Amino acid sequence: MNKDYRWTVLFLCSLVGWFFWQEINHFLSPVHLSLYLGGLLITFGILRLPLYSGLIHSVLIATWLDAASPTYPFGTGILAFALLHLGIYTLRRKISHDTSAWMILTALLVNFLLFLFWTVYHYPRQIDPSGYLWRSLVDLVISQIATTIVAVWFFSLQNALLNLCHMPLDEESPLSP
Amino acid sequence: MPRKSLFQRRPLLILGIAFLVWLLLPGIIKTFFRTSIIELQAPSRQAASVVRDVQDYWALRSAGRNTLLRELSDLSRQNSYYQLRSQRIALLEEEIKRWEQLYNLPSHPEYHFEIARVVQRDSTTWWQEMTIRKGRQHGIRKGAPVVFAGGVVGRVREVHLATATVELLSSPGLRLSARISGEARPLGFQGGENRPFHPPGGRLDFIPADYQLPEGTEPLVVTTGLGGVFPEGLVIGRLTSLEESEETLFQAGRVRLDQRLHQIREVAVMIALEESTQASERE
Repeated sequence: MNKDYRWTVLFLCSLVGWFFWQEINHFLSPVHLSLYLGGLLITFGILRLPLYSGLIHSVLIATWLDAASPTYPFGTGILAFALLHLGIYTLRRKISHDTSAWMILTALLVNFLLFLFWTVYHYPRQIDPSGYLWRSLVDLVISQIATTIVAVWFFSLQNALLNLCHMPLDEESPLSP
Repeated sequence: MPRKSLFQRRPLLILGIAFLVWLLLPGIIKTFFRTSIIELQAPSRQAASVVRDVQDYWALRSAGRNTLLRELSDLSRQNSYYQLRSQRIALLEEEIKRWEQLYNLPSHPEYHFEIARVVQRDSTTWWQEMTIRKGRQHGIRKGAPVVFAGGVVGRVREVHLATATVELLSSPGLRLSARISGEARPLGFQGGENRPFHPPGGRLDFIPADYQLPEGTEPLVVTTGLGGVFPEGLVIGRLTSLEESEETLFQAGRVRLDQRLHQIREVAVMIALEESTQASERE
């Protein structure tokens, strides 16, 4: 295998994204809303990196998120992220994955699928199912809006950092600044 | 055509093998791995919390002199009031001790309150918790009750070196023994109502079928002290409505929790004095 360390740069960039995501959730907490941006963090890796470097990136992000999650066994998220990564990766040849519109659409799809997975996973332990579904719907809508707003900037940041570290993508990305 | 490695030819097979290895990995290794990641995350959370404290400090610094004088005067008034209350509580405590000795009653456990700043609130759709800026090195123990001015906040779920995670009262995973103020029967409380833009809530189970909600009032729901985690009489919330069930002999009730639960900046972790002494002796 070729030594490809671009996932390290993307992982560090994703940690910055994670930090801001957590801060936003801290301030949204008093109004009982929260964002889920897991899909946004892994989309660039799925669409723009080779299979294994991208997969390493997705698994690392999932491990990072899993560690802080109290309600499911450590490793559940890793499996979900890895399966989703492989699923989207097999589709990436069929879509024009290097245009920003497609990247945003993919980020929205990945985020939606992950959110749906966790919502279904946590459903059985709820005492107020209607309230839970209502809250989930509102959280999903604001998460998707936030993903749409932030995605272009975040993908450009990842691209710029790769160029800065002299690890450019294989072909020139339309998101290059 | 370049020859592909096994990794490139069979990605799903490799993933399956990795998953199997993960499943078979001993729990202690996974726990070590997870704890290490949480310790790695802690400095970034603490840094964000310190930055927020600095922002608050400068916001206070920019407040006008008249505002500060007014605050100071309010504080000194409150201070005198609490000094009087403190004297009264000391007298009552002495009296309780005397009665306990007289009737050979078991004494109430005493607690040391460890005040901690909230580093991060994490109230998602799926779980409700907060991270506090005190941990193992400050004597915090797993399972310790956490309180604030409005009553119960939750209990310590995990303790790390300099931080601890508190499972909030509004979390669906938190159950505790409760009673309606003025009633003696122990009931079951479970959190988990977290609708957007509404105060957090929970459910009170096993309310006897003959119980009726007093008209025009919302009685307090307090802890019973059973279970050994929360001492008796801590406020959980207010009982707002009852739901009759045709299948069982009991009713269920909705409990409204304190609106401030998700805005708290500082909490107190209750550490039983005996436990604290034992820990310091071990050290």
